[in-house]
Amino acid sequence: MIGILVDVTRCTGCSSCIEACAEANSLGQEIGQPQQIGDGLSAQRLSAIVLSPEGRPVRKFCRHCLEPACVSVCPVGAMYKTPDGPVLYDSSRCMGCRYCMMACPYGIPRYEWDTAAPSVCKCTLCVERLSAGKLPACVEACPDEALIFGERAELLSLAHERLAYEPGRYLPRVFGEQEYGGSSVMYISDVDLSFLAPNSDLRETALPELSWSWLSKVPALSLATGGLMTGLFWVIGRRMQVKEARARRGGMEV
Amino acid sequence: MDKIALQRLRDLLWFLVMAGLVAASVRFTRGLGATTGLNDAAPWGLWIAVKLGFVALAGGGFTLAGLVYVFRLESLRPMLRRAILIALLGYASFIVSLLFDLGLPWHIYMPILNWQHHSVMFEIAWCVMLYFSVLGLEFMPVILEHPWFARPFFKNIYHLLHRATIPLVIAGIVLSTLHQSSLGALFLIMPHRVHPLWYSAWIPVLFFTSAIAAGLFALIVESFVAQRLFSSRLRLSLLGRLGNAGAWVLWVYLGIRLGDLVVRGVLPAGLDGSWQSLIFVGEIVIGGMLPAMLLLLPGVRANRYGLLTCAILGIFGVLSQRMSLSMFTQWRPPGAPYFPSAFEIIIALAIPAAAGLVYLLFAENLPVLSHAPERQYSAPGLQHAAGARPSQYGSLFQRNRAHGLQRSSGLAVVAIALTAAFAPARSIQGAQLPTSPVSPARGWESLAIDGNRRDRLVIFPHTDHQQRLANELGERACQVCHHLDLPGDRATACSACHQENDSPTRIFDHTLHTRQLGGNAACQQCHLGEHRAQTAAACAACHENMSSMAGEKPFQYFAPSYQQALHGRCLACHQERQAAADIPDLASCSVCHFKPAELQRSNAPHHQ
Amino acid sequence: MPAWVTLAKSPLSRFAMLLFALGLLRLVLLSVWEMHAALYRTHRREIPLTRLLIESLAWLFPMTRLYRARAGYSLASFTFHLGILIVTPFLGNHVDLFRDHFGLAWPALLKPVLDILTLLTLAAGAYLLLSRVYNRASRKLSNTPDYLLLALILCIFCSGFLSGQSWNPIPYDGLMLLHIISGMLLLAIIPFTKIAHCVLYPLVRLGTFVAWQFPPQAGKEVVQRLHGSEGRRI
Repeated sequence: MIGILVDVTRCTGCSSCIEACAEANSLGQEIGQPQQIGDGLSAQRLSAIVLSPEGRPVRKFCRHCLEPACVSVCPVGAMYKTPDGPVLYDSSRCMGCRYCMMACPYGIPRYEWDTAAPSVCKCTLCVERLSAGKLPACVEACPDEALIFGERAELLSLAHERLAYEPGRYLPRVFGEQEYGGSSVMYISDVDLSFLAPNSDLRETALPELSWSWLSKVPALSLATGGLMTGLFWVIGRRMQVKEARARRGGMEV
Repeated sequence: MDKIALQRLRDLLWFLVMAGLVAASVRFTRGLGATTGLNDAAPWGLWIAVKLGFVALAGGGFTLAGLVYVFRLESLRPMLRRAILIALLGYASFIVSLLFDLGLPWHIYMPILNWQHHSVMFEIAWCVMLYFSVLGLEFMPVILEHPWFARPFFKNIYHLLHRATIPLVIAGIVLSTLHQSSLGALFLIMPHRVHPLWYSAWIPVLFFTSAIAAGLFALIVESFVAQRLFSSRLRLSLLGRLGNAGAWVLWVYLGIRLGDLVVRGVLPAGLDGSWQSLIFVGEIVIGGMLPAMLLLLPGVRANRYGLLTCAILGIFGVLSQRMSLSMFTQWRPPGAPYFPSAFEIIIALAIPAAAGLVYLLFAENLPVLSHAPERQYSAPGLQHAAGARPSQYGSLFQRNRAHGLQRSSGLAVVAIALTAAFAPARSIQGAQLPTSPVSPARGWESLAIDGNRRDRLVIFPHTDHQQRLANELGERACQVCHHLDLPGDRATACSACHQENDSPTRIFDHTLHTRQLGGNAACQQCHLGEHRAQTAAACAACHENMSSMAGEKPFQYFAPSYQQALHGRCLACHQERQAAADIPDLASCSVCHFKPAELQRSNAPHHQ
Repeated sequence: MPAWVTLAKSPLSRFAMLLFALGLLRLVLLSVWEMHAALYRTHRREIPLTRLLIESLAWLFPMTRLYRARAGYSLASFTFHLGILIVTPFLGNHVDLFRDHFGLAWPALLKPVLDILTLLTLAAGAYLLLSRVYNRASRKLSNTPDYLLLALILCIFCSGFLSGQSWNPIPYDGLMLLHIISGMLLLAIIPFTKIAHCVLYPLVRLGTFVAWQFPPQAGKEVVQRLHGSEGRRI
């Protein structure tokens, strides 16, 4: 399970990672779409530098969650999580329902609004570069070592090491260790990063559990409804038959 | 039969469908961005909201089928066929609007191939698919009763379907129960989007109960419409019973909804007087409690207007819940509002309009409204087919065909022309760079410049610059910046020529030249040959003294973008004068582009 | 931007043009459909195209037939139609507009020629209008739209002509506004008025032709087809 650790205190907001990302994924020139939100992410930019409320630059990109909401909601398996960690997207399966965009608590997936055959666009953790034995483009480009690539477990212990070594420098929390079940991309920071998941409670249970709480009941519910209806149909029919027969017998007696 | 009302209604529906045709063609050729107001923060919009509404209104289908076949309430049988027709049309509308909403609608079959048991939408896809088929089979006998299908082959199918009725009905109830509730479960995973007053772990149950209520109320409304249009018999006592049932279901829905809010303690916090809480109160009180209360009174149920009003209010309540939950009250990041575009609204109207036309067609040509009793189930249509054609059949295709064609084609022409002509420019020309017009400076000694976009004025020390330049250049100082000032104008605003932040502006004013030279008669003063931009004389041919125009043709005469102008004009000076202490260090990019994200988007404000 | 440019670029002008194009298309399709239905009812499937063409062309030059009866009227009508059909598409400014907006181009006629033709058209139009008013038979046959349509066309020609003259006494922008408004109005109402004969003319000929070519028992057959074998009243 691989991941990236972002050390926000080291990031200067130079945007090298974003340029490298655009180049590695051949995203081309950013065209201004009216559908953009203004956080810098778009179908042409899979990562962006956003400012925290305190004014600190923070890199915003896919968190590659351990239990991704986008993957769990996809009705066709176009979003999938590889065993290695990256959450990937396959446009040949996608039917464009945009449920993934609705479900992501971090607001990461973006859409190609301008074409008649649109895809969802998101960070792939540079899987192609990884399989070629290279680092993700952003990690390679970062001049300040604010991005660290590695095994998630190692990154986590590194993060805790840093927190313990310089407690004054960081807030005592690895953002992405627990939130929504944890993610492959984690942050350590001196500012509160909850603005990256706006309007959410950053609970520690994974979001897919919310849907699963309903879906797990579906088989039982369908059997119960079917059984109940068949039973009612039979019972009511039987009672009507009995009633009719009794009425007929009564009529004969009279 | 109210022929005039029928004609008017049909015209209106037809008009909407034709307008929708234009919108549909743009939607499928240019994509979602060009036709909708959806954006990255609001990937779901009006089409999802109305889709939920269609399915809610279709809830009468499985309810009535259950009541008649499972609970054997034979007295409700006269409502059965119309209930199934409404459900069929509701689900057809759902599927059509789904085709509009999906980004890649030709992949709609994908859920059949790729099973994803952890996705609510996967379950809904299957349920809708199956239930639509069930509804089709349930409704097919009605179609087969038409004299067109008098052949023995169809007769066999008819009897086969008749025998399969009970399994079909039970399958329909199971499928409906599952996916009416699953439609609500779609929103379970997004507590970060759904407003707390609408979010609940009980959403599935709320959707299920409200669909039953809305379905029953829709049946009541349909009965009144059918009575008005086709003089079909209005069974008021029957409708009263449906209303009564609907009211009880509505109470269950309201009880669960309010109870959940109270238990979780959201209710007091939610009723804070915000507009969302007003919608909530409106939909609970006017669209919920009021009709649910009134319908429990026998006097209201016996009164046709009372019954109709209550049914409409109940439908409003349920539709409001679905649309508020999925569209209106959802949380969105600030600065990314969603409002449905005109095309979105047209299509959201055109789909039910098309369903309405199909309803009229079926109601006129098939025995939907006047249903034969169960004992003669197989008889009427097939008997008719053998003998003379009954007068009620086929009227749509035979009577006044030429007149109908004229009327509908005329309406179509007007509707198509109107929609196509007033289509937003974005949907015709495709998406373009968002324009950010430059606003003129205000003030005199020190100009207040809105470096555009932000509505934030910054101070530009104009007098200071004036003096500084005058020291160096003397008389020509002003021209350094105001290089194209109009006669008698001491300071044309930068924005007069550099009108756009990011793209150059063509500043040759053809109209001005035409007018000053005397209208169309004067064309040949500039256009020596053909009447084309390329043949025009160079600017310098007339304006000898305007050095910046030398040799350029009018159509080539562009003012650089505001941003380029600023970089070109201001930066050089500032870089030269770095040493002077009082000047901001413009040579370093970060002075203006203090936000990295803005550097990306090259929209740094003009910052002193 | 002057008001007339704004108007010409506005959705309203697009609406007028679409109404014109779609409306005329609808009329053609409807007529063909009706004609087809009529032919079908009379069991006649083939249309004598050659004779139809000759007849239509012959009626295009009404002087040959109407010369003796109403020479002035025939001549004026012919000139009027000719003027409209030549000046409107072959005016340089119109050609430019077409080329810039639709990418279609054809050569324009010289301006002096067009000016003369415009004046002739105006004179013919005025004559037609006056003859409608003063000729007893024409007056009886005319209704309000007949006058208004003719006046509208004259208004378009007048404003267009004046705006191209150096001695034009009226403010240019106002004149162009009038030209655009009346032009758009005319385009929009053509499919719904008698000017629709601009596309229906050949079809009217065809209709007349078909009607005269019905076989002897055609009427009875139509009745039978419409109302069954007993042949009730039509």
